[in-house]
Amino acid sequence: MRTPILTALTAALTFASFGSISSGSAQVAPSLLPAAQPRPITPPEPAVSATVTRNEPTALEFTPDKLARLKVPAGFTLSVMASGLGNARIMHVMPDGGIYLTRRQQGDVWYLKDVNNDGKIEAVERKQVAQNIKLAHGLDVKEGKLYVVGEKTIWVMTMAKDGSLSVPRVFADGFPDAGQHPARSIHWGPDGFLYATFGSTNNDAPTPNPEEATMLRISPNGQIREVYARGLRHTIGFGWHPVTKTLYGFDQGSDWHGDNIPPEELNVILRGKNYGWPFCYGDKQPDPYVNVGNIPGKITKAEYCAGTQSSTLNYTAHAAAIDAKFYTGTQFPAEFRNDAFVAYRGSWNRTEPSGYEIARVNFDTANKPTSITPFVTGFVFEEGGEWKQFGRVAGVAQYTDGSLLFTDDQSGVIYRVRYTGGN
Amino acid sequence: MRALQKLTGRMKWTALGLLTLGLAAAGGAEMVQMMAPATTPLTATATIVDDQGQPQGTATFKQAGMAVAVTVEARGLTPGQHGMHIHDTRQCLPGVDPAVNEVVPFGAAGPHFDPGMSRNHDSPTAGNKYGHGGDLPMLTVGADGVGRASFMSDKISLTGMDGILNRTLLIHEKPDDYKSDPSGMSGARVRCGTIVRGAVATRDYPLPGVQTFPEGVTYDAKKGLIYTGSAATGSIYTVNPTNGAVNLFSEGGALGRSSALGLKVDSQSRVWVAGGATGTVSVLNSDGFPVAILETPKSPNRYINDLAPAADGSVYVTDSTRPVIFRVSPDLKLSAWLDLGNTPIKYGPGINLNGILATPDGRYLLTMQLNTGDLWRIDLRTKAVKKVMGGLMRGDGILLNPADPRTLYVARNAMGVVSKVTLSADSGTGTLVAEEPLQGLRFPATLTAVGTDVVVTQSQLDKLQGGTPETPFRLTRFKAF
Repeated sequence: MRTPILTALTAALTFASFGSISSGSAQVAPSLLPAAQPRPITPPEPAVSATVTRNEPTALEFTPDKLARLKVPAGFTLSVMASGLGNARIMHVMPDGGIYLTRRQQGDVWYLKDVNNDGKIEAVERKQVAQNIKLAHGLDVKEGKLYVVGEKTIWVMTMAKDGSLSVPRVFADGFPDAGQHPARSIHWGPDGFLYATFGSTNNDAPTPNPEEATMLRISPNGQIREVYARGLRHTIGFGWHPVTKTLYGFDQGSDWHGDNIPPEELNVILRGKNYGWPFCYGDKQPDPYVNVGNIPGKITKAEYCAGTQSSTLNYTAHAAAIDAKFYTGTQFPAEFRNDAFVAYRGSWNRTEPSGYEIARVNFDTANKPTSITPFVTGFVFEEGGEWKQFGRVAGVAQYTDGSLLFTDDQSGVIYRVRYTGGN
Repeated sequence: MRALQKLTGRMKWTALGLLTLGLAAAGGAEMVQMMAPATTPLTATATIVDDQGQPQGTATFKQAGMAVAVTVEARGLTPGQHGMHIHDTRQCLPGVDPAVNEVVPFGAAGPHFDPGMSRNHDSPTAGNKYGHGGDLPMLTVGADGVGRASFMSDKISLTGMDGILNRTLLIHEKPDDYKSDPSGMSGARVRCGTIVRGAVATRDYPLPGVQTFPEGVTYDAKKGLIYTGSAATGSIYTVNPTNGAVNLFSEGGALGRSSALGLKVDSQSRVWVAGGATGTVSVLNSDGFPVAILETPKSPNRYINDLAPAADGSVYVTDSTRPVIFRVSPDLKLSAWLDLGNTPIKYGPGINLNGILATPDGRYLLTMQLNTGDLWRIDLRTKAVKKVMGGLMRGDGILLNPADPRTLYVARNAMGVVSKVTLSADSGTGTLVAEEPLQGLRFPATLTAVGTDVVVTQSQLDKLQGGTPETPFRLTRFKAF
């Protein structure tokens, strides 16, 4: 009985159903094949030194006389809508002009509305609508509900017409510890799922919780989620291009690796991909200042990086992107349409400070990003041999009239950029 | 002096030719068990190459009862004694020698094969609990540069836990002192041959990643896709069985999804994932996003290992450390279905109930207890438990042959074989009829049927506890035997 079976087996296996036998010749997408054998011991890496600088420009409270220091491109006008708002971080503008604002340090949400339409949000036009939301940060709206992420929880509140909110309820929970990067972000995606980013608890080493340093994709009821992308150290600003629906995210690179390593990244974020942190930056570049001992499989850093995704554009190291939004308004010249604005809060880890500005991501006629250029600058300056700054920009939003709003979380200012060049 | 005496002794062995080495101390008695025959007599050959890949001889291996008859002829060597060992992996390629952290010739062959986990280099007569199973007698090379040896060893086998198929025979430049770790001071690796079994055909599906550790496998005939999952990360991949193309289906790592053990596809083409120590059962829709992630009760000892969709739409789930079978109802509610404390199934240390399936007649569950080697039958209506058979130590995943539901295949992980069992009509008794190492399997964990073929995972789960896995990780397809 056994022998005939074997004969049939051999013949069938060799020529019929399998094609090839035991040769390992099956096709695998090259990007998925391991670049190397795992090693029995950590691979050697040469010693490397870095020159690093801690340089926190001296902080100055915003005062109106400093407005003259700020520069915007020709045709644009800058004004202040509100000040004294505390740790003003992320904004969400409602169609009627109401603005929900999170304050991370205060752990609350405010509702701001320029009722008298004078371009200023006076104290009577501000109200606290949620409190005791630890590390309240990213927020978004869907079907009459406001979603706010704080620390390890995403909260949901029902909105009333006057902007007030119901008592917060837990929408999703059990997210990773905040650690060094407590600025969480959420946006409802075009697929009806909620996307949320959770940065690393540390600077530049792998951590045991596989939900850290990721973008998560969460089911519409909040009950289930997946790791959508990983290797994202601290991606706060992200969103979908209005035309292509491509998902872009701005990632903050590691500290203490020198003035120019690693650059800040703009990534096209694809499902299931690894964006390299902590071992790789930019165009799959191995970061020489990260220890190799924790690489899974003890492969080399170069081998690991070969399996990661490149950034799409880079920006000056340590500039620290916070929020970002695509511009869909009509007030600005047509060339701005579908470009993105990003708040670079500013460096503390670079000889010459970077960031402290709102930058524009230029998209070409094919809707591909081509460059990142400064848009609102002047918050940081050198005076008498000392670096000073009077604004840490954080939130970005498009106002109902198509002007651009952004926040300074240091002095609690909301700035407004209008295009007035046509007049 | 002792080394010299040993040398003398060894020369006597070669002069005597076939002689069983280390019989008295072999293996560790608890691991010695009778193996059922393979589908064809177990023989293997190795083409011995130098570090340029040029053929420089041949070795043959023939299973003879509990031992293996070995012949070696290797050319181009310096006259004298040369250490000779079976090494862990199949690759006669350069690789890292951890002692110097440099790439050396044949370094990819890995360390000495050590099935007894002795962590000790010893003589070819030591039992495998005391010395590497791969410790062979030295090769004597004459003035003509040719070394010949002919001996028997029961430290190695072509099947079972000590199986050397798809591993390597390595010859070193110097004599072996039969004691110094890790390799008896035998110096550089100068000749290498991969031990290949003829007569059996298989097809490998290589998988991505260097830490993949594929445990579960299942096949969706409607979609024509194989699914496999990573025990280490929880990621699930699809494999096209025709062209071998692999795609990431569901990234692991989210809450409740950080490990994937048993996988099954249901009639709606949803993929069910046993979450191992995460204690969850996940159900993934066609784009890989979970429809549900079901939590079992919190415990430090959660070990959700395998699941079995039954004809009534329920899915039954084993836990390898908690004596309970869970049931997920068609509306995706999880509950404890059977408290095993009131049954003949007794949980002990290690991994208990593991592979599970429902018989096609809808009457029974069959489930494998790994640490006792017992196969159990559970009546779905009465919950009556009956022992089908024993003797299937380290039985992991189980599969009924779709073309012949009285034929059961058992993946026996540490034994490195797939066992074939013939069941009685009521699945109440079983007989072990064959045991196949195929081309050499690395910790085969689970099985699935693809047409008339079977696909098995080579999980290498033992390497999660230490050691270096071979990549690419693989699934292996073979004809049902």
